[in-house]
Amino acid sequence: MSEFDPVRDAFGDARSSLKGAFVPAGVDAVLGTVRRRRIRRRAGAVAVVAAVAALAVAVPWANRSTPPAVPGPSPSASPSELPQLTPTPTAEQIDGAGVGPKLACRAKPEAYVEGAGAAGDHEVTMGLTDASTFCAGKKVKIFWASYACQADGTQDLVEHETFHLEPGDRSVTTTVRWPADPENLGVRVIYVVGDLAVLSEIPVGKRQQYPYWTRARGSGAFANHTMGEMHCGPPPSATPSASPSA
Amino acid sequence: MAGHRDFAEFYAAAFHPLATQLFLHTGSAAEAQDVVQEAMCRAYDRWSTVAEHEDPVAWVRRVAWNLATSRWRRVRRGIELITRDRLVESTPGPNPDRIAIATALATLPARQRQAVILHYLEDLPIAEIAALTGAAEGTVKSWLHRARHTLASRLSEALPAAEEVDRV
Repeated sequence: MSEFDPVRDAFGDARSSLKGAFVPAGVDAVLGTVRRRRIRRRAGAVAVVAAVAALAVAVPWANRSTPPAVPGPSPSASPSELPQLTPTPTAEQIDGAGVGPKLACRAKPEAYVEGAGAAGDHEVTMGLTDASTFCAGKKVKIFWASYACQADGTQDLVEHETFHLEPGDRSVTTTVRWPADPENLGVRVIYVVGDLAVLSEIPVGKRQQYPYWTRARGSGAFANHTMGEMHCGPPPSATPSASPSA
Repeated sequence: MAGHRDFAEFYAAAFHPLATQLFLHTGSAAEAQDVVQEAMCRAYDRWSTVAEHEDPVAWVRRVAWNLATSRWRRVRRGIELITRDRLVESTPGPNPDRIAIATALATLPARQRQAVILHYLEDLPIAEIAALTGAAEGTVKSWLHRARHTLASRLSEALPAAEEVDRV
């Protein structure tokens, strides 16, 4: 016969008294909480990445040696040598046609996307413009990030990468990736060169070829966006020239 | 998908025992459920790793107890000031007055209370309690000894009163 142990006995009573006393919030509540936290974390990561990108843009400008001498009050200094706060590349500038002679040294590069599209299942390859015209001594950081648009309109950072482009480099090609996730409605790719950000939105499962900034289009699926405008929106349905190639 | 199913089974099996332990520790059913739910959320967030553990319950138990201890630290002073009879607080769920051990546990220092709950309710060996609390095994033995002594005297005081109530 076992000895009476008031402590063990009391714990046994407690165990049986409390049986069924707690109503768990449930697995769905766990899932919801975890999902919300992941979204918040990614949003935080986006903010950090955006800050890094902004810094990457700001540092080369801040490190410029001597600002170009502006001869007197005349605004005749080459606009390409002056800081451009809101550069909006035109089709002509990008294509290098229809404008005057090409400048020997650009204050900042201009982005273009070469053969962009969902080549493969979920990949898009992007290139950088001809770098031979960069001003000597400049080093340019290029940054891209891909975002997955969720059904609820929120935006998850999927992947990002930063490159250096040295003077004399012709171009850089990178592959923007995102996972095949049935919850994703599409993918946004922010492609930043200098202080120019280019946004692309590609629905999952689509194969699209975007002739970027052709003279005929001038705008379309790719448009200039500032870093502050990264939010999910309707898919870019009004992009007639973004013809599916698959 | 299998991971989700595994987690659902794990949740169903582990929630109640953990909530019971933490209820006896904190004296608040809401607080106990809250910390266990939070620990479950953290487990699900890294379920692929936690599920690989030899004993995933141990992982969640440690997180839940850490949360409870940490919260407890923050509110302990306030609670002590409000009342020494903290278990009489009105919380949804089980009424602590009906559980003799809960009232007696409330008189124990937090470390002793944690040790005695883990040992007698969860049947954890002293070594595991030492690992969970970060104390030496000898310290845990000492906590258990003192806790047993206090509880035994409190329970023997409470027992006749309870028997009288039962007879009525």
